[in-house]
Amino acid sequence: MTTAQLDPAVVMVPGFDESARPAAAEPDLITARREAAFKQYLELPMPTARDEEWRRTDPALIPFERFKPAEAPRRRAAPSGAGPWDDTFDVVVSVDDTGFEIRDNAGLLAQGGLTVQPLAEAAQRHPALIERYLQGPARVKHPRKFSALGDAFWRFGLFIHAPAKAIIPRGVLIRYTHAQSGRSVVPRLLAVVEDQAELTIAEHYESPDDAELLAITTRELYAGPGATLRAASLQEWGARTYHIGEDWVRAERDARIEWVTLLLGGQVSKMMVSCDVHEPNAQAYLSGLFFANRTQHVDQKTLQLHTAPNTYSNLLYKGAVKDQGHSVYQGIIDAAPGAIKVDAYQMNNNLILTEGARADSLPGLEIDADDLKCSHGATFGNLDQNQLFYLRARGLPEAEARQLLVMAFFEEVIARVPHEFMRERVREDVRRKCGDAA
Amino acid sequence: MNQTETTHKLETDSKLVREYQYGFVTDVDTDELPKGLNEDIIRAISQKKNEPVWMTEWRLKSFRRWQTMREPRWAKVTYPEIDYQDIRYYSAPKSASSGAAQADPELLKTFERLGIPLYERDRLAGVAVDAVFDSVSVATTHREMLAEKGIIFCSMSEAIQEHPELVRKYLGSVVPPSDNFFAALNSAVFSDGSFCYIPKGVRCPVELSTYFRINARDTGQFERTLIVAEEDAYVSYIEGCTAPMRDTNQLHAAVVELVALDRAQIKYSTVQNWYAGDEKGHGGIYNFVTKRGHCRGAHSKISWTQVEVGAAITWKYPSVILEGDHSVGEFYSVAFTNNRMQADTGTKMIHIGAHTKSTIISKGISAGESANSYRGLVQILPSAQHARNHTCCDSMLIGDKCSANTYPVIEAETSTAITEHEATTSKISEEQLFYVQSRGIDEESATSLIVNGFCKDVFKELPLEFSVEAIKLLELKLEHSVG
Amino acid sequence: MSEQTPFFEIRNLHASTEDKPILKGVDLTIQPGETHALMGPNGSGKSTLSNVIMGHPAYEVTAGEILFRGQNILELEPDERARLGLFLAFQYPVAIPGITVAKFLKSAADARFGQGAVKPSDFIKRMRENLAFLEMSEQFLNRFLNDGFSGGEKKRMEILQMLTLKPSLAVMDETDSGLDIDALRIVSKGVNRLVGPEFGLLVITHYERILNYIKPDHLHVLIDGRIAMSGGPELVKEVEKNGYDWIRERFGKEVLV
Repeated sequence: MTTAQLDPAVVMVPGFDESARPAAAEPDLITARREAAFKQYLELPMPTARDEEWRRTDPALIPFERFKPAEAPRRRAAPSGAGPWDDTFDVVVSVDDTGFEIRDNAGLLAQGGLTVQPLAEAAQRHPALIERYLQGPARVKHPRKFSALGDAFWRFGLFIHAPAKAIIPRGVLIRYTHAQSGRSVVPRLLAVVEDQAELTIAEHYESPDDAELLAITTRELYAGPGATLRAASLQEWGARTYHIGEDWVRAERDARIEWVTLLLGGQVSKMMVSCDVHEPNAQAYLSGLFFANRTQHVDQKTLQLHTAPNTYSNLLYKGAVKDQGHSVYQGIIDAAPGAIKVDAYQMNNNLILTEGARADSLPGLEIDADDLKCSHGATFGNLDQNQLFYLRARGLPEAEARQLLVMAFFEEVIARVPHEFMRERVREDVRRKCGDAA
Repeated sequence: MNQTETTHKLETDSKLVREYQYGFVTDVDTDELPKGLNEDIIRAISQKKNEPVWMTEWRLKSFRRWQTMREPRWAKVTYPEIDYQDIRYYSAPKSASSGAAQADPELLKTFERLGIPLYERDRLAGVAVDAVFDSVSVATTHREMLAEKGIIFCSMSEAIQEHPELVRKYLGSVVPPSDNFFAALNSAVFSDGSFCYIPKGVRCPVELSTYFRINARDTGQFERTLIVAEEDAYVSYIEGCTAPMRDTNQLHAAVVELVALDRAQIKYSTVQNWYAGDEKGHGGIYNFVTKRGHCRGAHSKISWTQVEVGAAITWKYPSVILEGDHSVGEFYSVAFTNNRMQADTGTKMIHIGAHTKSTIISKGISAGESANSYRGLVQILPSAQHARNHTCCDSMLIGDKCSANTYPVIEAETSTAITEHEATTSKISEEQLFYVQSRGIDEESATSLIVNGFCKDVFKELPLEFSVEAIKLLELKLEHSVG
Repeated sequence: MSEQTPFFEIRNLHASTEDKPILKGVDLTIQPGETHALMGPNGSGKSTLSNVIMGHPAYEVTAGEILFRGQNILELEPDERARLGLFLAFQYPVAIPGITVAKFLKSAADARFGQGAVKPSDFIKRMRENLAFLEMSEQFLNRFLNDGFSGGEKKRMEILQMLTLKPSLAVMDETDSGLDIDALRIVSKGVNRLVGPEFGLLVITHYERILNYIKPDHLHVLIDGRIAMSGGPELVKEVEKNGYDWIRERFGKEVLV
């Protein structure tokens, strides 16, 4: 694709033009990065349904023109109310339409055992880290439109940094609660877990069903040598929220990444995660759960990038579709030349619960090295008739038996979720969706 | 235009000759049209073949459509721009005729050297052969015996003359000219190919076979094959292909259409051994082929088996449209690439009817600096209640400069269907190699044994004698890929 | 129960699967307190009968009725039959990864006895007792249902469910197949715990071995979809000694007459 002669009208995502760029003064480093991202954003065409990646999720499904970027939330001095699980985390960041706050439950921030700061603030206090990681080496593959948008236009930027050897027992919870109709929110996360440190980051997205919202999220996460990074996100947007998310994760030598994405809400979700197991003995476990019912449309792409020898990745994405729900899963395992002794696995299981629903799966392998083992699988089907009969033969009514089997189907992924609250929430969501008669 | 094709300087490297024993050129008088493509050329082709007006019009319509289309570039293959005006679209040996008795002895010798005897006295037992040399069919064997059963097996040119009603009814009904760029090109310029028609209730007693040979230089081969099996009919069809070794690329853009009515079965096997170019990637055939079967009737079955070991570039997706309830589609494929070969091949199974069933077994072997991709689509439409699909795509890598890619797409639109897809990519197993070598077998033979084992699920689908041939061919191809 | 309304009665039952007739007129009556054994060669329709009694959707009843306490149960869903007190111990219990045994037993007990009918603490206590009785480890409660279970463990799990759900009429479909003598003893011990004046039992088996542990009052021989012969416990020995051919022969003659 050539870049020079693109027509701005073709290039701009409606709502994200020159005038939408943040006006407030920011540290030079941030301004420079935004500038670079904006330039890239202008060079990339607006995706269309003709692009391979958007063929199954026509960008026209997202009414971009109906949204104006929301104001940047301001830091609140006083707490604005707690969530039910806040106490189970060391640090809680809550973000809503007007403000955000960072709560230091365990005094870790005060002691300097962990950094959780707005990006602009971090650029002043830790310029070397921001310099190194913001729009940094996790972006190995070709630039993408919505990452560039996120980098150029983010309204709420957060920097999380676990110093070397820091073991953060309960981790960080970030709650996004948005309710203002007609607005787009653009949060940006940068997280770095240094050598041998261990950190869990949980994110929770929520909006009411009656608010029409657009969320464009960009996350960039790094696990340094020997580090363990657990990142779990629970997306429970309301029925009229649209979400485009692009995530970039990278594991260095001996690092371990456990990635969990739970996609339950939203009208249209178009997500991409690129996980680069970048150095020898790095490991990545990627897990996904999605459930599209009513008219929901869920499209996810995963990249397992093996750029170094002796790297391991294991992916399990399980989804269900119901009513007019449509899911798309596209996975690529990419083993670069020289990436020998790679062991990569990818599995996508799909339940199609009712007629009218649709599931697509595109599990791909791109292998340029020889001494390795990569495999993938994909299955589609309804609930197993023999299992259903077995449960009913024990007296369980059909609806209950079906629900139990859907729960059982997802349990393998739910077991990989690091927080009890999230596990319970997901089970509840799945139960609700099973019982929901559209 | 008459011209004697001069024998092109053969690559004399003895190793290469051993690798590709079909690389010779036959010295025959040819009847050729000038290079280039326009409506006049198409009219000339049609005229040479003495075609009826409807056929000429069909070609012209296809050509006009083709002019509006763009060459597909989504496959994972790279090649320089093709100059479609620098290709000769018609070249026929002057002596060509459709009876072996009158055929030019040079041609008969050529096919004999290729292992395809066309003389009545030594023709292959149990196999009826149609031999296509460049643009035309030169001989079809076993015709009388087949005719007694009502089976029509002849060249496409003859079919257009003698069975226009059948050709008009079915030609383009599975692969319409507008289907894709190469199909449109083929529809405009196709010169010959085979036509098989198996009437109601007839089980074809012999294997039908077409042997395609590209001989002339700078000539494209655009054959068109159409097989129709009526209710309860059965036919097994085999195609083989070779071409001389030349240092320029040649285009082969064929279209194959299969139609199976109620309870009919068509088994289509291919052993594709076009010249693949040399170690540096010079020369070789561009094999851009559209093959599709249509299970129109209930309980019908179409089975594709392909062993692809040749061609510089392969772009080919033999597919099945499963429209009849309870119809069955199968795709069994071995694709071997070596040196700089590129293969992008796979299948499409389109499930429309209820209780339709498909099986896909694909084995890719990449060696040298080659690239081998599987690309497939399994589509289960809402009407395909209780459809089943099982797909297994395995890739084996021999050497560290080659690549193997797998790009499946599965679309499921009914809750009653079950589909399973599995794929693995790995290096040839060192443990297996070691085990076999420890029994005194050298590395090359050990590799070939293991590769054969890897491919056995596909080889067993080939008719027996061709299975033996395919195994030998693969062994030969593997000889220089180890180490 | 009066003579007019038998406890459990199968009348002229015809059933087929995939349009193939399997059962061709089965008649069988079981009274409370009785244990019946059903034997027969492979393919005679034994498992079909058990599946039809429980209402497996793959089988179609083409004629006849099954009456339980006078009610035709063929109209009922499998779970409704279970809640009435019918129980099938499956020949091949399916594994359901993702559902723990504890969760499953609780759901099934709630379905049978009503939500909250059993106090959770009592339920757990009873589970533990039953596990101990069947010589099973308590760890089973946290395992996924039948997932990775050995053949013997699966069969014991069936009996554990039977003890939990306390059916009035149980059908055991070749529960003894593949069990070693120790497991067979444990399984039989579990079943015998339920045997009593209010309980009817149909033991479907291939081997007479289990009948040494669970004593039948009646034996029926199923051949080609029909009960070819019925008799008392003494018939067991005869079948053991002479196989089925003589019955088939005699039955054939009877049919011809």
